[in-house]
Amino acid sequence: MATGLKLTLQRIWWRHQARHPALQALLREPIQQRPFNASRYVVIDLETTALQPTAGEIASIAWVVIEQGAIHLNQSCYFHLALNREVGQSAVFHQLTDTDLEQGVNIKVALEALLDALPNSILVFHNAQLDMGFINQAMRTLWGAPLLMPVVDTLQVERKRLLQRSAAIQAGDLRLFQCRQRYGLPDVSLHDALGDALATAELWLAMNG
Amino acid sequence: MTQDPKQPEIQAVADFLRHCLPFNELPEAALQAAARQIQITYFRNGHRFSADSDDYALRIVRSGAVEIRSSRHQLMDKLGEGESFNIHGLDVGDEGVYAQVIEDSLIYHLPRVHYEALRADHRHFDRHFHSQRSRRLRRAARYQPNTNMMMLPIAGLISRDPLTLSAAATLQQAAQAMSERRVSSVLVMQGNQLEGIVTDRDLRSRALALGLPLHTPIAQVMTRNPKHIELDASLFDAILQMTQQGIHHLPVLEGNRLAGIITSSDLMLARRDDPVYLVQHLSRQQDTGAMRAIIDTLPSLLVEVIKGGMRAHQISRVLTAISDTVTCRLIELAIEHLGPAPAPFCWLGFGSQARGEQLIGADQDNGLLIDDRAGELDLAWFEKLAHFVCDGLNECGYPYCNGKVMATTAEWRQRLQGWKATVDGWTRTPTPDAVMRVSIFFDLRAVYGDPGLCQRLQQHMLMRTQKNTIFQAALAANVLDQTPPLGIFRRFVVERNGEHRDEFDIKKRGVMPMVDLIRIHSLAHGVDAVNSRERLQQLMQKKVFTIVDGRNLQDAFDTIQQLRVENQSRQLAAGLQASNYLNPKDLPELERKHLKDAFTIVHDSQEALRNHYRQGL
Repeated sequence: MATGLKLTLQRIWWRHQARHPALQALLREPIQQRPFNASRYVVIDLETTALQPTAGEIASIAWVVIEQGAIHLNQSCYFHLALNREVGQSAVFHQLTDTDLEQGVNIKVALEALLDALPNSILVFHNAQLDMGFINQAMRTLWGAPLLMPVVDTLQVERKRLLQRSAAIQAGDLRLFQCRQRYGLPDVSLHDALGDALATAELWLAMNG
Repeated sequence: MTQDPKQPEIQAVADFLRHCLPFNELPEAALQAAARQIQITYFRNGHRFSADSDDYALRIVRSGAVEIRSSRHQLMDKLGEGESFNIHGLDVGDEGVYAQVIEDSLIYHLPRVHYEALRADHRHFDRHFHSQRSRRLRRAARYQPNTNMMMLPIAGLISRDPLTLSAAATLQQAAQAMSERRVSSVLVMQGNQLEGIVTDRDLRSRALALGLPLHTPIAQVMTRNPKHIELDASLFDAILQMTQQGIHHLPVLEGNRLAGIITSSDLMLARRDDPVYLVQHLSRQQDTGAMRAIIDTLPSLLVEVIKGGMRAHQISRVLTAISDTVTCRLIELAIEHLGPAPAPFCWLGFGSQARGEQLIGADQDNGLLIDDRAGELDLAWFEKLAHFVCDGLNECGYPYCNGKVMATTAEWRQRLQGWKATVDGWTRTPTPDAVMRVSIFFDLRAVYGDPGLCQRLQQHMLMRTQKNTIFQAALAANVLDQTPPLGIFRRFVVERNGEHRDEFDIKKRGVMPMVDLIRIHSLAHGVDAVNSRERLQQLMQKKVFTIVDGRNLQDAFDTIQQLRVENQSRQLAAGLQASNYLNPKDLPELERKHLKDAFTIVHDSQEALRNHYRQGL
């Protein structure tokens, strides 16, 4: 429980640093273990302009919500953010242009909407480290504290599962679409934040099916 | 990017729904709104949905597969990607129908309020869900307008240049004009306006009978503001109006303008092209050339009657009657040529001709059954008869049979004794070849001559086969050889290359499996009908099939045959040869769905048959 204790202490510390009541409340929530069907999950995906939080920024953010074991699409959100720097290289991947992003919203608006969606939730990402790095950097800049909450990473879950089956993991095996295929989930061609969040959420359903 | 970030369009879901029946019928805004209300769930193989345990909702299979089963665990339907079910709608009357996941599935769940709102607001969407699958199919097969030529517009039948006079014209002038034009009515006009009508009957009862003077103006005897009909009305409307009002003349208006007149004799004339008249006409021809000329009009007739709403089973009845007539006429001509037959005989029709299910392009399947009293020397006469008739049929457009199932082949032209021995041989050693021959042979009908001979042969054959389960099993194996062209998840299986790429043979893969299946059940239960629909009727009466199963089969059969003739009609209208190859992409989505439903029923019936004869296979 050493890591649990460390997390609790960190959360207490950051709660006092946080400058946003919703963020404070989230850091005050008790961390509970609940079965899948009784948990609320917010499955998030970001598009970013670089692979390092220090080198780029969030271009768009989307999330879908899982409650009682079902994805409720009517709680989905999808924000395109106004950028400070130019889109550069990653636009090729995400088919975003600078003009698209000029019309985006301020990151503060998007992250406040996210905070509103988060009470009593567990975060889900496919490759949490990358996306959480961007989110925490933004949270700390805006409100002085990171989003220290329970996180599920479907990439790590799948990695562990494959290792348990003592399968050798090849490059690319843990990509979202490769993971989905192993669960018999349909191919999806879309590659935007909302499509990927949804694809991750379906994967998480299948992992718990 | 102008949309509300808190109400985003769920593109991945909307893109999928757009390809699902009946969501494809929804306007874009409604589709997007529906996509937002979807809840996505995931179920492992084995999960069950039932009306008792699950909420009222529409469930759409996003991936995986689901089976619908009755309370007795009978398979009712298999659903794959893009297909949907509402378990409460399927389980009308609490029969215990359930859905079972047979492959891990992502299920889109549209909650009741949103599902019902879509049904209330969108008629096409609603119609799709009116009832469960088999009932949907039944409607498609049965309740389409059975109107024949009746729905054709009258525009092509009316007299465009009717006799008209002014109201001041005298009785005598009217009578003279009518006699001159050989018509039975005159329209009374004031300028461009129709004022009245005077008919033969009016002249008789309102003028002659009353002794009116010849110079009386017709205004005095005419019917003012007569009943009329619009130019775009159908033949049916015209007949209905005439019979309801007991009249024989209807002025035809286009808006306010007089377009012509239609009379009861025009309506009679319209039936000149009716296939019934064609049969009569054929039976009067003196040579094959004249018959051929009539047969050549069949393709365009087919296109016409299908446009007019005639159903496949009626069309095949008519086309069979026509080939029967040609055969009979050829036999009569042969007898004129060869002299009277030396012994009684019966001309046999096999296959689709026997079943009364012929369509355009049918080839010959016939045989000759000769009374045992015929001596060896008499047989030469019958051989000549066979050649005369088969050659004649070929000349008339019924090509020779590839498999040599023709009276010209010695094996298919025998005395009753010989036939019986042949049947005995086939049934004793059911080689694949024998089984194939016998299955042709079970569809047997007397086309000309002594039907008693045919009956005796048929009875002998039924006696040999009805109790012979080994033979039946061999027949079943043959029957199950051809399966409907549906792959896993109910996708159509089409030819991958060659001339018929992306098509399948709807006769070979759809019609024949059904005909074969119905035949073997008939055989096993001593049903003597030959027509597939009649066989099904009798099988239902004998309780071999439940009413539901029997009707489902009949609807499946009607649906497949209907799509087959419509496909032929499309080909003919496009100037192509009528064939049995169909490209499922040419069908509207709903018909494609119907065809899949029908194939599913065929497939399930084949499964049942396979289980029944499993030991023997």
